[in-house]
Amino acid sequence: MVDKGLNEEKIAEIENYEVSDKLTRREKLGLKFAEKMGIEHRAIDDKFFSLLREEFTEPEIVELSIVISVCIGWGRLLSVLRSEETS
Amino acid sequence: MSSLTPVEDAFLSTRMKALVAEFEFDPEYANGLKIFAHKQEVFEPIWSAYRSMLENGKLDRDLKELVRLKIAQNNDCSPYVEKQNLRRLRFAPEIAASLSEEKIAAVGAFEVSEVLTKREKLALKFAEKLGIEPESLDDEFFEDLRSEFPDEEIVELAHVAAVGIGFERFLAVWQPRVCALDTR
Repeated sequence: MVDKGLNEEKIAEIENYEVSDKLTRREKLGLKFAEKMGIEHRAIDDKFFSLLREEFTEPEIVELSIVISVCIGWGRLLSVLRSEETS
Repeated sequence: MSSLTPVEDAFLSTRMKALVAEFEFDPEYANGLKIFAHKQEVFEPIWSAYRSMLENGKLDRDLKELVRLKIAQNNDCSPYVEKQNLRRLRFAPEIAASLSEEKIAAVGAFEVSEVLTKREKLALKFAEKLGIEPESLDDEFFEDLRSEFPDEEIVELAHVAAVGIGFERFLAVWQPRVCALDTR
């Protein structure tokens, strides 16, 4: 990933991505979409959807959805198994 | 309600066409699949893997379908849930065909059900906790789980639940938008 242009500076911005001046609008929207899918998917309304469409094509939105969905499930599982392992 | 444009039949891959054809009985669902077909080269293998998890393995299919239904319900997956029509949320008619209507109806208030077994209730509780409050999966709960499931079954259950949580959330976000389309 780093080889493909993702740098440490950007990774460090993820936590407070909304106020970052290093992440692009497109990246911020991708992160917001992931956050909403993971925490408050019912809040993904038409307004947010319109914003997403300003930066992403339909195939990109579907691809992003798939990546996020897989990360939500297995990410949650890994966090549980990891905490089990260290307890 | 805004939605994405379903991919036209002419642009579906052979495997994607076959998948859509399986859901001819449910035009809204089939149309939803056509939206996911925007990335069919990614979506179809994941779907097939998920389906394989549900159909194969040590755990019986009825139990896995109950777990999937619970996750779909907790995710508010599609307006079908509002209609209390869990049958409509069935993955495919031939999967877990032996699952009774009584058991499906018991998924909502599974903890107080008299028709579900302790094993089924524990599996549903695990799926619910993983989806809503994973931090509550503590040692005590794992001990309960181990009283009914050997480790290999817990791993299978965990994978079914994990993929289901992501996948059903995906559907929860996009399916109502599909339903808002004129699919007929």
